[in-house]
Amino acid sequence: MPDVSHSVSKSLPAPVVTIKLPTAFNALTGGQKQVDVEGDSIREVLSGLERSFPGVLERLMDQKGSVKRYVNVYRNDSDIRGLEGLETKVENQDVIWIVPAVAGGSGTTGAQESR
Amino acid sequence: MAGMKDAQRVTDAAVREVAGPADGIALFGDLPRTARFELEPARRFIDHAAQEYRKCLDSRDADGVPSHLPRASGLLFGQFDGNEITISDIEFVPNVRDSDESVMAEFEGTIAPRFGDVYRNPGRGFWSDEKGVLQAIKDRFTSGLELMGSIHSHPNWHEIGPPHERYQKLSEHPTLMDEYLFRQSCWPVNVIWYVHENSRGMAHRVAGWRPGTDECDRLDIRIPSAICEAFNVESLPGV
Repeated sequence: MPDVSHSVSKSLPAPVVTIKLPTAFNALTGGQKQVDVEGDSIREVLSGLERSFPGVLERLMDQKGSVKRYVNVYRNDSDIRGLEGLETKVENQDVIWIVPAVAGGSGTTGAQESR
Repeated sequence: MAGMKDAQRVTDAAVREVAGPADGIALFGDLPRTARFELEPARRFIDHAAQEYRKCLDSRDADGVPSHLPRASGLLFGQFDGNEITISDIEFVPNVRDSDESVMAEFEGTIAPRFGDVYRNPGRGFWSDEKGVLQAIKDRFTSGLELMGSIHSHPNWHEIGPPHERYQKLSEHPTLMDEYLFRQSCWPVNVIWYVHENSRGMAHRVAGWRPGTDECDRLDIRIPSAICEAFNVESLPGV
């Protein structure tokens, strides 16, 4: 029997994942909290997200094409930095969480004198 | 494969368009102008901040110099009704500023060069444990509460800190580094809780900030009057 797994897999539809969006992106997403997107990898699903909400990638990516340090992207519970980054494969019904960092702190005076 | 290449092109094109900092007005849009605290999250944070401040005062040596830098921070959860944000829950997750290698590298490589050597001190600044943040979000997702941003304390370090650090006047206003991080992360609610002492003892001033195109704008923060009266809290209105 010939091996058809390759051609069969190519004919399968791309996985559909759910992307959970942070309130930090409300201005771009019209307040939508989650969206289903097709794609085989994190890169593909983020590109799909960009097609739905232009400008999202500007929040996510730096000029070198990497995910910004101030944004975390998780496939289910795993930070994609610990996987294969943007090339991380996704599976049907995976949940992709986009979570900007929560950080700040005291140290030097800011612009308060002008306010 | 073709789909992958298309995706690569879309991603690359979007990245190329990022000529400057990600500060376009579309990113900030119509962020809410008012955030109202319910009683419990305000009470829990003030307990935490006051405890840290007292610990700082108790750590003073014979010359009055404290060894403990009071730090309090929390995640603010709530809902937006189209008009204002209501903060109804708070979560305290570990501050990994001085323990996570990638965070320490960010302070060394980006923040300190940009905002000053003071940020090479691992006691300065906070960075919430990212796994803890994700778990806190998941825990509240089904109940409809969303992460809206954060709250952190600023002590009157220019009055009680070591003499060589007293030139750094702090208040309920964001530092330049605060503004940078608020605008990078783009959370709609960023609260600074200033703890100091006045003639009535420990006192507090609170202000909220939302990221704007060029800087952070004032957010109108509403603290329950019961908290303000009981704990000597002054909440500054938005402008």
